[in-house]
Amino acid sequence: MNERRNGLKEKITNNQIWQSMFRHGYEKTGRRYTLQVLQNVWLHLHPPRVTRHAINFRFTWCMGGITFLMFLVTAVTGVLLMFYYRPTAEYAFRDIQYLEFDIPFGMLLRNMHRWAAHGMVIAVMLHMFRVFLTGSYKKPREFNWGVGVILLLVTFFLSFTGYLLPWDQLAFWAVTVGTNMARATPVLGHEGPFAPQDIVTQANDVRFALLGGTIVGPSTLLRFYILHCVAVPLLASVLMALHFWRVRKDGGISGPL
Amino acid sequence: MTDMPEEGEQRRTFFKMGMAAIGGLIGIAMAIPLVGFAISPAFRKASKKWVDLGIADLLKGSQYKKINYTFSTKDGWVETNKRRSVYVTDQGDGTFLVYSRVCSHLGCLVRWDERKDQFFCPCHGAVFDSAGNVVAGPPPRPMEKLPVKVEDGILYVKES
Repeated sequence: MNERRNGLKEKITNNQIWQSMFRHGYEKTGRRYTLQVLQNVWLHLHPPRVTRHAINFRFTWCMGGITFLMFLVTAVTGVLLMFYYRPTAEYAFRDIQYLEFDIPFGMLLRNMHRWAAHGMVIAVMLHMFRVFLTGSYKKPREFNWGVGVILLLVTFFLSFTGYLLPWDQLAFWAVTVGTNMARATPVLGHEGPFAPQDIVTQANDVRFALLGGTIVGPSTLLRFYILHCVAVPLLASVLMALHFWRVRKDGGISGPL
Repeated sequence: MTDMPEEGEQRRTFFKMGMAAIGGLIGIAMAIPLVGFAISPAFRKASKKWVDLGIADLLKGSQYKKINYTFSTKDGWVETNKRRSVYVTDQGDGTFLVYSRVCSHLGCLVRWDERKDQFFCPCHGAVFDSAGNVVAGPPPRPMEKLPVKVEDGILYVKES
């Protein structure tokens, strides 16, 4: 029996296909553990060795990890929502209603996306607060603090672009007010300080680029949809990869240097 | 044999420059339509047009009347219907005053309160008097007054 089982195991594992995917044996050695983590695209995100202080919850609050978890939840639920939502003035609001009231688990799906998004904003701010309190922004982590600040703004922008998509009164007026603030952008906004008169106008300033027009309209909806679903998540992913890589290079998570 | 490396160096430099030139050419050829598409609306001249608000005689009266209208215009890249909302009143001598309902602060729509003789904005509590001047709240300037004309008994406002 045991022999047969070993024979079967040998058959499954001792061939080129298996060994091309699982490149290390199962001997219980430190070298094998390390290699398995380091040479696997999924596992290499984790450090091969974790120090005791790095898993001290009271020190990190796990807020960076929770932010990332929230991002993953919004990404997965967001992709599912994209199957039902059409970003045009005719359909957007109706599709949201349809999601809320007709599609099985649609309400749950949409609210998972919504609450994970709120959770991400809260978690990312608590994460920043924690990093500030523990002095983890200091050299050599100052570059990563900078990346983190950009990621905070990217998170806000994800949140803001998602706000318009339900295309209801709240969304419309919130984005009207929010984008009108861009009028006051220095140099690039037509009502901002240092903006050259008659050259920077309502029809070519930074707000115009954001809206795809001079008022919140169908082009704004489409524009915000593309920013929300493609452009900003891509930017966030690249910056997050940089952020995590930098954490490792700067002495690992939460360690005294 | 001593001049051989120099020849290799020359060839390498030639290829480098050739690659840069071809790459640059392809880059420029691709950039022209991409950049042109992205920034073309910024160079279009603002088209202003007169929009019909209705029969002038019916709009006479000392109180502000709310009028909603749509007009078609090229906004950004596409032709769209813009919706606007204004308050109209006449000044008693047959000339009209048309105020855009868009608050000069952050763009919400103001509401005329006849009992208080003031305009109110729901978003950040702005108050304007009946002449559109700021009474309270954050707006940086008075309400926008639209250019008007009456032609053949029809009231028009100038829209951009």
